[in-house]
Formats: sequence, C-alpha cells, structure tokens
Amino acid sequence: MTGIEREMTDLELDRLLAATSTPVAPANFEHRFMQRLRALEPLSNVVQFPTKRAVVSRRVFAPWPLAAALAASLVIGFWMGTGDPVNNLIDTGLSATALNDTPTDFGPAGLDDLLSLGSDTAS
Amino acid sequence: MAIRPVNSGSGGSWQDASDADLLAASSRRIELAFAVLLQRYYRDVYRVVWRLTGGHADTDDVTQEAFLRLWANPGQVREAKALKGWLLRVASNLVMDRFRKKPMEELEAADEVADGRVGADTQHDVDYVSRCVDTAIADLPDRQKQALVLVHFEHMTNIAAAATMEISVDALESLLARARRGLKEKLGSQGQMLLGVLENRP
Repeated sequence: MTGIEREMTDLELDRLLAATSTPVAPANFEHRFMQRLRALEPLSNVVQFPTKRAVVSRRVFAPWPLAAALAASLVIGFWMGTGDPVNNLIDTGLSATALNDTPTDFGPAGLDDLLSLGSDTAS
Repeated sequence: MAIRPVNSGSGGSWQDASDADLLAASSRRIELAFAVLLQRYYRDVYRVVWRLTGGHADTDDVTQEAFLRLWANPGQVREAKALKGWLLRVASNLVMDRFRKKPMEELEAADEVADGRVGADTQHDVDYVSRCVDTAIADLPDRQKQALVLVHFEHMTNIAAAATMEISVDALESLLARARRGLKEKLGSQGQMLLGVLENRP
C-alpha cells in the first residue's frame, strides 16, 4: 500500500462489476410458486370490504308501522273520496234549511238588523 | 392483437407458444400456460430482485409476488414483447416498497462486509470481492441501483432499460453515471484492495 488513495478508473470498476457472482434462483422455485398460486385460488378482482354491521338500527327504521300508517291513510282517503260520509256531515244543516219553506232566523247579523230590531220593539 | 388459442391440451405444447398467446391463455386462467411464462422469466426477475436487495432473504418472496401480480391480471401487460420489462418494473417497485418500510440495514449480507477488513483466510476469496461489490451496489439509491442492474448485469440496452424504468434515455444515462460515481466513492480504497485480490487469484 502506498497510502495514496486514487480514484478508481471506469475500467477497474467494470472489472469489479464483472467479478460479482451471478445469483441463481432456487431449483424448486417454480414448484413452490405454483403451490402458492393454487392456495390463493380462486383469485378475484373484486375488493372485499370488511364485513360491518348495518349502522341503521331497526328501532330507527321500522318499515311495518310506517307501511301500516300509509295504508290507513290510503283507506281513509278512499272512504272520504266516495262522498257520502263526509258530505252528510257537512251538508246536514244546509239541506235542512233548504227543505224548510220558512226562513230560518239566525239572529241579528249586523247593525241594520239591530236597528230594525230596535224599531220593532219600540212600535 | 389477435388472440388465438394455441392449444389447451397438454403442458408441453405451450412451450413453443409466444408470450402473447401465453398471456392470453393466462387471462383464461390456464395454469399450464402461465407456468411456461414463469419458467421463461423467473430467473431474470429473481436475479434483478437479488441484486436490488443485496441478496436479502425476501428475494424469493418478492419474485413470487411479481408473478402473482401478473397472474391476477395478465391484461395489464399491453404489449407481450414488453413482458420482461413489465415484470422487472413490478419487481423493482415491490423491492422499493418493501425496503422503504424495512430499512436496508436488515440486509443479511451487509453485516458480513460492513467494516471492509479482510481476514487472511478470505484475502484471496473472489466470493468476498463479490459480496463487497454487492453490498456497495445495495447501498446505492434505488433508482441508480435499478439503472445499474438493468444495464450492467442484465445487459439491457439503454433504450430498453429506460423503457423498463419509464424514464428518458438521458435520465437513465444520468442515473448510470451517478451510480458509477457513487460506487467508486463507496468502494474507495477498498476497491484497490479488491482489485488486488482479483489479480492475485490463482
């Protein structure tokens, strides 16, 4: 050793690179790989998400009471739509008035009525 | 690219099939065809992974992983003639991913030559020279190492190596130059001693 350190030349580096050993794949590589491949089958491109319990609980989303309420409102709608029951409730007073020939006295309805009522009592 | 079934019969008949046919057959999950692809390229992939990892025990596993990626979706390889480049690229990326998580200090070979001292028994051992150079290569930055391995050890042309690394030829040449410079620095005075070992071997 001279103690003087000089930089390696390209040629020298190539000699060192050429001296490196060539790695050899293990002899049973193919066999082991095919075993691993078969162990993994069936492969799928579908990404499996982790199984998770549904966040929505039955208490919050209960379909049967909601369906029953909707059905009931539908039935009531049809019942009212057929006419008679509701019409009977609304028209009872008016139809009775129409059948009666004598005008119905509904009592004083305004200032004129009150004035005329006052003159009647005075006479 | 026309896909024509070569033969779906015995494994031997796949031996002469082109890479394109083997890839097409692999897409149809024909294991025998894939086995021929494996047989053709696993040595190349293994060598590159071994060089990139400095001979780490995971070499085998990483090589297998690269082929599993191919089997999972052979359609990823757009051109059959670029299959080797694709495999080497996938394997190189796997090495980088794995050893980014697992530092290179864990390399098994590294400890053996870390201090650069030479025992009397190993003075003339060519294997020792090889291990020292391998360790110096393993210490290079990933991309420089990849460029060096593809061009110097796999004897790929600059164009092919650049295509494999998905970089320009200029970028590859720059990486190569830096890799060589880096190797010279890493080997330093030890390099002269290693050359002496080579010259003195019987």
